[in-house]
Amino acid sequence: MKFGLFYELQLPRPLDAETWDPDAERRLFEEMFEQVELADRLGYHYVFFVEHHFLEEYAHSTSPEIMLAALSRRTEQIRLGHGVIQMPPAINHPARVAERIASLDVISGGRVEFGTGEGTSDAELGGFLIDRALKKSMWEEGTRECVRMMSRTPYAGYEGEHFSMPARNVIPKPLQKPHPPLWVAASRRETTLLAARFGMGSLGFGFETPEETAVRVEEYYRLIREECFPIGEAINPGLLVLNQFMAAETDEEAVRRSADGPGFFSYSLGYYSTTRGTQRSESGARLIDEHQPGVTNIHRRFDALPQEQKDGRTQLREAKLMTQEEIAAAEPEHEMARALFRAARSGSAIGSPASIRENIKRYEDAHTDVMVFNAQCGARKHEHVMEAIELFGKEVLPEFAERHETKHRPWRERQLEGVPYPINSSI
Amino acid sequence: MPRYDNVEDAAVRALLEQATTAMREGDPTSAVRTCCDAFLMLIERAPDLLEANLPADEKIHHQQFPRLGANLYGVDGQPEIRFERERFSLSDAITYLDFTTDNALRLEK
Repeated sequence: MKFGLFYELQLPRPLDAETWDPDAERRLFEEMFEQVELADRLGYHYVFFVEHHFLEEYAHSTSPEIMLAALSRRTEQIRLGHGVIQMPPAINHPARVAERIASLDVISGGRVEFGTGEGTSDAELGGFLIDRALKKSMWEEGTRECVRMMSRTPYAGYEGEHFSMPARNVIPKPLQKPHPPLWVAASRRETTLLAARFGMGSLGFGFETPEETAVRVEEYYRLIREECFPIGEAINPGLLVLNQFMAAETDEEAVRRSADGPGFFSYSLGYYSTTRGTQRSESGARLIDEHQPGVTNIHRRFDALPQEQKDGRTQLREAKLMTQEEIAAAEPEHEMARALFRAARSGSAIGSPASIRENIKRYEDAHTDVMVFNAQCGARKHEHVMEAIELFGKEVLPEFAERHETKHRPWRERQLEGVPYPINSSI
Repeated sequence: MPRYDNVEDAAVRALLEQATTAMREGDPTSAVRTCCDAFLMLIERAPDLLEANLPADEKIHHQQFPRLGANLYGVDGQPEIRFERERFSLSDAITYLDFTTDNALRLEK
């Protein structure tokens, strides 16, 4: 199993002021650069940045291409991932995406991972006046044509349902041929199956358990072999899972340093979500319906929750980790609520190196290809995130990286035997 | 072996196979329409499926019949699927196919 970092670039508003100080975003970005540079030196394989819009406090990663371009000049080996670019043409025109991806690939020496997605929240889709019913076909059309623009000379042009353009040669072309590895955001089982059918890596952002991952791995590779309609010129078989992360010398210290990070992550995610699981007031009204852009302090709302409720979200029990059995017993039945619950929990990658090693081994046993860590979240301290990246990178990552080469890679090759499509994958 | 091969109901399985063939032949719009026929057949077998799949604020969108332009309604207690788009993409077709297959398999458990 390979490892990476995952960034929403969370920036909770201060509790004692109405808005951020003028330097807060610059500081956030600079700290992230330091964290990724450290991860690069320690041999982490990937960094992924989301693209979200208008989701104050939850995600200030609105222009991932800028962050990745900067990192391409500050790092040596780490793969630079979009996790994801929102592909509806009204948000990102496919030609502009092709130009940006190819340019980044050239200046980074071929280190780009091209993650794609539809967009999810009404706050974002509504901001670009996108009809939710059309977003899936917009994603497909935008992604397919974007890949053709990168790999074909000239691009023949297109007349589609959601965008059209005449023949042009879209330049530059990416260093990786025929194009960088393709991924799609897959928070749910259904989208993992979709990823397989399109020959794309599955960016599993739903905090799946090892048991769920094992089932998905089996289904995913079977579909790759038997029912694949590649969206690109080369397929990128792979399953990635996202996990909450904080490492320290002891479990108790990791939980203390984790603070309310996962809790705030889950709360703010739910706040902007429009399906079941969204945060509601005592009267049952959706908080998002009362949201005032530029004014509402989500962090303060979170902080005002009764302590037992916040503890329930982060599952801190006298600064101890819950057992897997306790976690399973407490999980909500509904998928979205369950994903938020899992996003909040102090789970399998929060603890001492020994605890984390034991817990994430279960994902390795399930043949997970990549695990990315949500380290920067909520109001966590930068120095704690740095120490966690270093501790894990030195004490846990190397043995997994070694087994990736000796055990996982041969297993993958067996899964992909007979697949007739070209493969471009960094896994 | 395609997933629909595990569906025991021969009529439903035949429709899912037909939808898959349409997808392979580059006709996702026909595939969506065929999946809709299959889902209406499932509602005939299990009428509770209709109520469970009608849109409501408190339900989870993706656990219901997809609303990507072939949308399910209840008219006087009877199911009706209205096609509110003329064309569907392959990803739309895959979404309807997987949803219908999952429900067919679940009903037979």
